[in-house]
Amino acid sequence: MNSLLKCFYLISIIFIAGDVITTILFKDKFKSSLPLRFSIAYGLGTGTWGLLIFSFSYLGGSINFRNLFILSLAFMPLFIFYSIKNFKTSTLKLLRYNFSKGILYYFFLLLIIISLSIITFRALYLPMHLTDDRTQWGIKAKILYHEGTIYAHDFFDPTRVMYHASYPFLVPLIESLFYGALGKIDDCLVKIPFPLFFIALLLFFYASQRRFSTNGHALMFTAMLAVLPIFIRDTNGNPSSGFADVPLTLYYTISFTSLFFWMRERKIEDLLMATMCITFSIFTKKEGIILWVIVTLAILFTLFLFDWKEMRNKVLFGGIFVVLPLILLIPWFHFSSTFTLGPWERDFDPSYLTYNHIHSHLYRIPLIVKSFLRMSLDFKSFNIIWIIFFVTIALSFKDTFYFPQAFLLILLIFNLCALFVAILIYPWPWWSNFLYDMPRLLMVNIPLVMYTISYQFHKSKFLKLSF
Amino acid sequence: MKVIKYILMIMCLVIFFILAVYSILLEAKISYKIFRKYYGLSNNQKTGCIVGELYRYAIKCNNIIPEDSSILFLSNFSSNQYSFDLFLNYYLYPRKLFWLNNIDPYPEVPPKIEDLDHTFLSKRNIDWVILRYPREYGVNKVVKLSNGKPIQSFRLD
Repeated sequence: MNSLLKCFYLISIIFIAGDVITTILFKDKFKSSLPLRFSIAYGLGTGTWGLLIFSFSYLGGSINFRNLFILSLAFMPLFIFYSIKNFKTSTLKLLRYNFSKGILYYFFLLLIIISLSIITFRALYLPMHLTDDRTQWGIKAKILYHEGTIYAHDFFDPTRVMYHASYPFLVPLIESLFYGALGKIDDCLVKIPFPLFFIALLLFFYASQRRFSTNGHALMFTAMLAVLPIFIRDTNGNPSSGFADVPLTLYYTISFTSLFFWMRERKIEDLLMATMCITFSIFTKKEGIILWVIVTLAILFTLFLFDWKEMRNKVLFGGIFVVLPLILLIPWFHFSSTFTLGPWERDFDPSYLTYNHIHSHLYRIPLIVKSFLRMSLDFKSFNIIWIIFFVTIALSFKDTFYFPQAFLLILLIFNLCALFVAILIYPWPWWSNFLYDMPRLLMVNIPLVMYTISYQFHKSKFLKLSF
Repeated sequence: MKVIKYILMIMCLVIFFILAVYSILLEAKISYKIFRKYYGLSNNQKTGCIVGELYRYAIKCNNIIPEDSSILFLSNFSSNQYSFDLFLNYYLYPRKLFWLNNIDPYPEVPPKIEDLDHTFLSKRNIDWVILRYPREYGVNKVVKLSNGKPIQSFRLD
């Protein structure tokens, strides 16, 4: 009972910290609706706690529930202060909620609820049983919980059996906090945060569409995202498992949609939100750095092609997106530079980009293309979302290449190219595993694909749903 | 043209949701089966059912080796490389599992324990060795060390 109370406190403090930071940085900008407020609070809460606990341990503090409780006290008075201040507004908004909706509304809502029920049930009922949840993130969480520090010897000895010791610590840190709250290693309850990441993703996806569309439109595409087989099937990376792919997807989705709106509406809050979330992406998975570079390139490319006049102005502001993550992650970059990497840890080294290396891997090209085509047509992974994507682009070809929606397409093309190159130059003999793990590798792009479809539907006025 | 576009898009959405309902009902059915299958089992029992042989192997090792031990893992099963030992590492923790070296962690032929580098073992406080080799080598056991020398052996077959 005591451990469940602690767990409840931990979840609450994640939301509270995220909400307080949102209020301090953005005032009421990301509090216009409950879905937006919930998702942003969870995203910023988990990211902030991950970075905070890491920095605390980096400075010599111990990772345990008592210290988390002491640190959390900093957020409590601020939360109470802001809650009292905003009480009237939020209560009135809740009261204004309209409960009379059409049949489609209930159909979409039902799909989302069933999907979330399946995901939450599996997360809490089944112990970890897939690959990376145990071999990569789970073992690190156990070590952090057991040793109480990021300086555990296990991370630094290259002969210690460890998979990607140098990978970012956000997910293991969050898991270790749950072990700390539970007071023991629990392979089921440690997965509490993962369905919450998915719920936050869906709520943010809905709320971000509401900035340009009707509630019915936003709900339909959110339902489409929620029921995709890659999220509800028991496969690598799904939200019921303890993989880092769904957390990364949440941070990345908040980041690219915020950038999209920054280019559209030029509000500095969007740029700052994108910067915060790309920072958490970098601290979640190594791919986060690649996504950060790609997003930066996609912004420059889009502005160069479509918004040349405003480019200089936006590039100056956009500098925040490049510089701030580097500053916020100084402790992590320093810490990770102290690892002695085993040879297999060098998965994606720039030294692989040589003519000889690439030439010797050219035979992989047809296999990668075939795998991508097979996967995109396989409804057991993505339903027919890729087909809908290509049909939408084909039917609204002119609209697609307008500013700012071209940014979404450019970003997707860059991401797919990066994935293609990564598999092509991967140096180890088990590269072919990627061909079978394609759905997980593409997971981070799925909200981007869905968002592009949703925006194109809105622009081309394919359908108008309003409840 | 606009009508054709409309019809095409609506058709796509209808097909999407038909498949979505099918797949979500299928997953709901699978979830119910999972619930029935593992109802009343502890987390460890569920793990045993799902993970199978590897977990039973880890439990055997855990029953022999004390929690505060450091263990050298020797094996040559290249088809499973970077998997069995990584999963074992997860289930053996807080026992610490080590490779012989990080360049070639899977020696083809089981090395003689007496010939292992004494400095390497003592630097990491390694006091146990797990040998997991195919049947023809006849080496599938846990060995307890003292000062780098084997003093006790437990078969895992």
